[in-house]
Amino acid sequence: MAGPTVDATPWSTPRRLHPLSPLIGLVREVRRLFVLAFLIVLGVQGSGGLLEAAAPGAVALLGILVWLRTTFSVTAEELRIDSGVFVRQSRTARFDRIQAVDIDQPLVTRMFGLAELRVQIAGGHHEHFLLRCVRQSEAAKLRAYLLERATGTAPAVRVTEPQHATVLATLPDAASAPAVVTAVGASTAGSAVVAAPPAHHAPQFPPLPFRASDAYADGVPFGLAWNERPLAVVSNGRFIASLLLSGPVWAAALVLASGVVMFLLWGAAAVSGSFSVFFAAGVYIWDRFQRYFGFTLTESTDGLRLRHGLLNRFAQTIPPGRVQAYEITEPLLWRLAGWARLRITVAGYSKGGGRGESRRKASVLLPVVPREIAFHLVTYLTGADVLDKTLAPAPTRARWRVGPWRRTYGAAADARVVVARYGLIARKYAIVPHAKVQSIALHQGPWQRALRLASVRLHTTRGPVSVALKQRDATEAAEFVSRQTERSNLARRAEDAANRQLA
Amino acid sequence: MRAALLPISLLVAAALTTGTPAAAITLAAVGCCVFALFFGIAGRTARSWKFLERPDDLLIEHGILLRRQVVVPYGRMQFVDIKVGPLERMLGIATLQLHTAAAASDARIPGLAPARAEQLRDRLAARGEARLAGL
Repeated sequence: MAGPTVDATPWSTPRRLHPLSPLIGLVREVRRLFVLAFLIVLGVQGSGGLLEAAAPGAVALLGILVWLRTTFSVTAEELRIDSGVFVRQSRTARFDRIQAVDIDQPLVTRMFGLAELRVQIAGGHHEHFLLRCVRQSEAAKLRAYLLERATGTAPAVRVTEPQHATVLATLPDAASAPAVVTAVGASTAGSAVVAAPPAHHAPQFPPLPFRASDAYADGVPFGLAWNERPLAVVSNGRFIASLLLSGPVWAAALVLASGVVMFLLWGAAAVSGSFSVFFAAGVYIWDRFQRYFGFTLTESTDGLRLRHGLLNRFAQTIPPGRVQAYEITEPLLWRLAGWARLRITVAGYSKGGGRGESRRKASVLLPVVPREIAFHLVTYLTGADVLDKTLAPAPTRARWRVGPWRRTYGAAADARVVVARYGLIARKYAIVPHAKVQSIALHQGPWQRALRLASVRLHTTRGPVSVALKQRDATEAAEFVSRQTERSNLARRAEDAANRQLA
Repeated sequence: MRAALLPISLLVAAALTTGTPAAAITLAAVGCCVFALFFGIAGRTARSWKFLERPDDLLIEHGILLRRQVVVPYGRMQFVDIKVGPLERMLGIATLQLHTAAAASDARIPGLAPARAEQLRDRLAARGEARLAGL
């Protein structure tokens, strides 16, 4: 790409966040304190008082101080945040270390037309940069700029002509030029800047290997940018059905129902002691429902973009080449309906990316889709035909070691990826591109030695996907390790060469 | 060796608390046998650590009962460090630890002579720098 297409001058001098941020911080803290106080009151009946009254005042004062002392700026090479009320801290993120950019809109932030911008960085202890409370349109522009500077590997998608610079450089604010804005509303997380360029500037996307209408039955997702096209939409009906077919949701619902029954039979005293358990069960169900509601996956020249959330909205952008591994999971009940979940490992999200979620939650690429679509998507993203691959089964003698699990083990490798299958109750397919393998380990326990078996693990960056070729024939496993080492070396070199050309 | 501490300390405690000298001597003898056994196992385990510097990667092998083999490409090494614990310092050995972007890699070489560990670290670091790739 020929230079940045978004003008970065507004951020060249240190700037504060939006002036409303102390207020929003206060609301957030008060809500947290309220929940805590609620639990305490229900738990021990009484107490509290002074602390609950004084805390919001202190929090408000601290919030204003924090806002006054926090600035961010964009320099030629990095994003920089200066913060700290008493101890000053200056943090910088080099553009080439950026793994993904998120724009999140928690309900309160969203009501004020603001957004949180999160930049995921690989390595180090603080693995993400957070800009709380920036204007939606500014967040979208900053994201576009950062993503452009954080070029990953050669994308499958190329912009036909790089002359769209003028189009983006004069991107109008969502409010000031509604004529060129195709879809802007209070609900469009991080997609406020949507401009329609001249048709001949639109990027040429390669054809999809599957009929988009299957994946994409519910119409156009909100706020498509000009350089974006949809890949998959999770319909609300299927999403709710998938929750009804989910074991953990059933378990939480049972806990909640037992709480209600106890309350009805024996009154409030019976549930007060274990109230937090019922509360947590309710929160779990609600969170599962609201977090992935209205899930859309699109593809743009910046990379993959995920948007989801009912009240709190999330928009996550992963530059091409930043996905380290894929996992397709088919839980037992979902197999009846032929559905699957698609997860990915992205380097910056190892601890959940600071979005108040576990790393498993932060890694969902698609919460529920027909399994063919999941396989086709991985095929499309990795360039290797995953669905048609015949997986070599584990040797028959492995049943003495793992019993019925043996039939679920399978593995295959081709020119681009390694595919490993395992799991009896929830069937899993782990897929890792050769270039993303960090190291390889071969394990052999005493039982395995007696049966001439061995297991191979391919290590990728920390994340939800683990790639294990379990219970392979010992000689086959040793051969696989040496061949995989070679394949990974070659693939890594090719990727590096492509990166250097791009840079 | 750490695994031997618990049974041996239990035996010592038992030997100290029993009344009769005969029982104490028997327990002490059993303790010595356990110590010798674990010492032997520990020695063999220590000898089972092997590493090989290949053109493009480092191969580490260890384990007797549970065998493990790790291949770490030089291009994937993010940094290499040398750790010397208090006990290791007393014994004059060092552990070389290799770090990749994957936490699961767990590639280390324990029991190296400090001078050799430093040489190896410098060599690996130089090779890693020459080949280091992005994620």
